[in-house]
Amino acid sequence: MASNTEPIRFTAVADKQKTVWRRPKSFAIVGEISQIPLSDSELLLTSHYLPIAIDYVNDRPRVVAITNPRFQRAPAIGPNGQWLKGYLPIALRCLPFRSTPKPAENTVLEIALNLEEADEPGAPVFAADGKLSAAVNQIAALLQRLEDGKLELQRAAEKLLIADVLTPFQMTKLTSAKAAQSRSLTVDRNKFGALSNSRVAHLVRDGFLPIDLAAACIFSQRLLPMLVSVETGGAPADNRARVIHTGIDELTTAFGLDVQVDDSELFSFEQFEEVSRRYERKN
Amino acid sequence: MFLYEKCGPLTAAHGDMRIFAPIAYPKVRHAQIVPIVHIEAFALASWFPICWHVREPRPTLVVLRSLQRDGSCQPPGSPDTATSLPLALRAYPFAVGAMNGEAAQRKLLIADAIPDQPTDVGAPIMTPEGQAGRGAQMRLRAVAAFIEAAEFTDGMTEDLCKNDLLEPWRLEFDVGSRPIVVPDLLVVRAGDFNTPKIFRFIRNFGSVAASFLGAHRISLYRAGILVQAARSAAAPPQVN
Repeated sequence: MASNTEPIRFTAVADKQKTVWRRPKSFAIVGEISQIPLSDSELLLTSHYLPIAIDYVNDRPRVVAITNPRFQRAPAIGPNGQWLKGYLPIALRCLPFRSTPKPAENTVLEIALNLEEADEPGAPVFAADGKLSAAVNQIAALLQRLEDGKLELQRAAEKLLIADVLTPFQMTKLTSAKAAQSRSLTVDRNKFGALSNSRVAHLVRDGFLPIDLAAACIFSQRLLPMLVSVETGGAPADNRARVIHTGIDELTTAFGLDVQVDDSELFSFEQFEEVSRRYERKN
Repeated sequence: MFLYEKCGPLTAAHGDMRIFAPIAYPKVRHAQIVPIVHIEAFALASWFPICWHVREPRPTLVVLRSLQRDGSCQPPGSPDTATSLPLALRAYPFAVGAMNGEAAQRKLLIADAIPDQPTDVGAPIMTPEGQAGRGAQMRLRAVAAFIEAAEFTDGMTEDLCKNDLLEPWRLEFDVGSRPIVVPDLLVVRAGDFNTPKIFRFIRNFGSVAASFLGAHRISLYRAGILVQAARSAAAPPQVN
């Protein structure tokens, strides 16, 4: 295993420094990587298991899945480095290989030099004819799919950026009253809810991925721990949060019950649960 | 409504009737298909696939809690975990979605349901002071939230149907030695998400509809969990 202080070193497969490869022994290093890139094809499935965020790399938004343990309500990696979530993203599934974009060459297939390897027979990187083996070819194809998907997600993230619905995560410090803002961004559901019908419709003019990305960000916020929150742009738009009047006149008359309920469009089960818990404690 | 075998209007005579925790009732524990409204889509997408159930006069937005008609083999944590319960089940035995007609003529309905697994002694609907008890209040909040959202939910469903955006969702799996089929389900056609029809739908209904469609798409990945649950239950016991 690459040590806690040593980054993973990669070399181009074509350099032939490694001609035999094995799967990584564990995913313990993933927690130190903090985030991994995603393809558009795995965005929605990943949002069930890992917080989705938008990072800024080289002045471009990049959609990632957060693997930093500080951003996980439940750990993604077990004590023995085993992957605990129900889905393993492409970038991890393809280890020890990765693809790196190079301006002149599109992408370059690389292999890790210092990842601790599983105790299994190694497989050849190259076939007898000197080309990539069939297994490595498949991995290379998957990594190319990842690169293509990253680009699609980048375009979708740019649309959300232009729509001004992104906001940084906030990390509460136990030793300070002031929360720290993370570089990573997510979607502010209040800002998203305040978009006019026309503006939100134009997000999907060229495809539904911007909405998929917004939904994945919002949906996966529930995976964040208590100390990480989302900075919101003020109260929900007026037509989104309103007090409900049941109109059940018979009941209100018979029982003298005022059943006003604060109903945001995205129903808060957390509030509902809190009311339920208070009821159970009192009874 | 398939959740309620027999319903009647709530009257003052029900004041002494005791109601129990939702999971005390068999329908809450075992209902395979449960109606929902759009506001609970994000909360329930982490539990169950969200789809539509073919009914008259129009399909109904629902969650599919199990591949089995008897409601067995639900995802781990359902139905015992409170957050897995849709509003319709949190309201139980008060009925949701069973009201027709104008608001002025609406009646609150209560199912004639017997809790076969009570977790406590329950509580009367009405206190001796003539007020709704806390348990009843919680259920009424769920009813209220469902009713308020239902009109918008139904409006979206109607528009999706009118513009031919829904298609059959064929669920057929081999579980153990036999196939399981869940019929009469609909989802938004995957190929239509990148078409002008979806643009017009979202322009008509706004960001709420956009979020809802996103939650619907996310939820469909939970179908795999239902299959796993069904197959695990059907697998022969391990012999050591």
